[in-house]
Amino acid sequence: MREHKEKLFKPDEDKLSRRGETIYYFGTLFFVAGIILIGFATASIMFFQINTQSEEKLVTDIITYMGVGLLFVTLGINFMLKQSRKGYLIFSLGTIFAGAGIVSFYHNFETNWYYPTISYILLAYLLGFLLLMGNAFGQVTVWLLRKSQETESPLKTSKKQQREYTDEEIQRDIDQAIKKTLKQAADNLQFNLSTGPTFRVSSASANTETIIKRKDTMNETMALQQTLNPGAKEEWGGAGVDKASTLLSETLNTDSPQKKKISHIFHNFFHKN
Amino acid sequence: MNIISADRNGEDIIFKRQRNAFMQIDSSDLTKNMLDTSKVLYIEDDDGIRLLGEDAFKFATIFEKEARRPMKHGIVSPQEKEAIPIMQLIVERVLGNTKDSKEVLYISTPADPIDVDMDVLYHKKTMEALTKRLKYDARVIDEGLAVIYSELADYNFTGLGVSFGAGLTNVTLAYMASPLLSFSIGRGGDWIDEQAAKSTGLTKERVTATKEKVSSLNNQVTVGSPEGALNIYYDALISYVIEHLKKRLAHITPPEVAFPVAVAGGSSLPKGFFEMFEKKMKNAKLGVELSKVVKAKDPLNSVARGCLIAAQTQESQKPTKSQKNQSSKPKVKKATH
Repeated sequence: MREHKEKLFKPDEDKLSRRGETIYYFGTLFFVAGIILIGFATASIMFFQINTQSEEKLVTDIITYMGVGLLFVTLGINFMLKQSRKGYLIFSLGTIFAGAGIVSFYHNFETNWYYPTISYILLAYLLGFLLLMGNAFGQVTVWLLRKSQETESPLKTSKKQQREYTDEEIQRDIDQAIKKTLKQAADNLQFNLSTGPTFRVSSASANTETIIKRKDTMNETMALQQTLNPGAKEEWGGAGVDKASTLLSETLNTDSPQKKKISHIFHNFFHKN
Repeated sequence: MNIISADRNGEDIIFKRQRNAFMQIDSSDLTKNMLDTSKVLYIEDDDGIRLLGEDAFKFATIFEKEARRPMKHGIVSPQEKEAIPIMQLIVERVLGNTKDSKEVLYISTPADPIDVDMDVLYHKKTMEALTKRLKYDARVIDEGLAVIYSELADYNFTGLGVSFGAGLTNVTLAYMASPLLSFSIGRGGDWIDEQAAKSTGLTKERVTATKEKVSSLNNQVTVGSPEGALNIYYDALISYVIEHLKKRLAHITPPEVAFPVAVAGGSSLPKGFFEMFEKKMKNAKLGVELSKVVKAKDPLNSVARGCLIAAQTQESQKPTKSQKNQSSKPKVKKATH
């Protein structure tokens, strides 16, 4: 079973690793080359102390290195990311625009660096750079979202499953389900007891059962009723009504014992007379 | 081992009891004449004569034969094909027909056993069917809860009800009349009889007869007598029940109150049984606090009485009709087995 699983998944894994090797090789290559070029251009700016008076050829070369370096960095990042069809289209367009911008700059900076050429060249490069960076950013966002969905949801499910379905709980659920099914089946059973075996019962057997007669007030019935229905209404004339009435009169009678005594004397006096 | 009914008649309760047993003998005119003269309960068909109830048990003891039982381990015996018709006959005789189809009847049934692979559902349904045939409004109640209804009213029906029956021992823990825990154990009086019979070489019926006559359980016994074996196996049964109770209580969180314990059932009748049980319960470290161990006033009929209390309570809760019933003194019955 395990071997079968391994065989099933091996082709995809190989494909993924092959794609990964190539794409990551180029991606890394471009990214490192880009960093080196940017570093070289930055070092050259500092070394040659580039300013508005510097030699045009030198400025063109250094800025071209810088532009190519930035392009390579963005290309490297894009190579390392898994691209969709749209991604490859934007990636290609960005590369073309940025490349065109660099080539145009290189050819025009010394001789034709005037408006509107400058605008077109800068716009082409900027558009290309932004397309590449935007594509990389978009792909990273999509990848992160997918990854969070893929990783979090199975984790949540597995945790939930572990928490809710232990072996004991599964067994308990199975037992409950079986009991429920059995109960339903039993409820639907119709016993036909009239078609059983026929016996002749002995005639001289009137009172073979042991009969015991016992005096019993069965007060438990009332107590059980009150326990099962504590909020139930008391019946008129019941013991509960008497008890409640006594308690109520005792609560409402707020006369002091002395006052009670005086009223009792008055009551007796008038009654006697 | 017994089928008992309880019925209210004025200020009295009438208990009607029949032994749930039968015994097959060969049919002949002489035998039939003899049985008819002796007023023995029997049935006859092509297969012969079957003595029923107490008489079957007496004959089995005299002739040292084994009485057959329609019920085994507290439920209808699957080994006896005649179990249901015989039980039907005994139940009919013990209960009688009702004129009022709304008359409530509570039947005590065992809870699911925890130490035996056995289901009591089919038994419950069979018993319901047998009694519904007699036009009763039949309902079922756990045997342990019936003991609580009968014996623990002073404790607001809160406590532990233990019924040591023939086939099973039933245990219910209830709080304010509501069961929290209910289970049965596949050992009871029959198990004691079987073990004692094996140990002494006597028939099971002879051991049962001795058990029912035994004056008390004590350590002073004659060598080789069934009393000694009975003493040992009673002790073993109580320990077994308490151990299972302890395990089951460990799985629940009951309210923090002191629970009284009520003991009933035919197998708790011998003198000394209650003291033995009380001592063991007090020494057992159960997961709940025990307040008191109460012996049923009438251990054999306690479950029947509990069912009658349940039935009367049910009757009195019926709207409008309850007033009629009160004036005409309701006749509520129950059966236990």
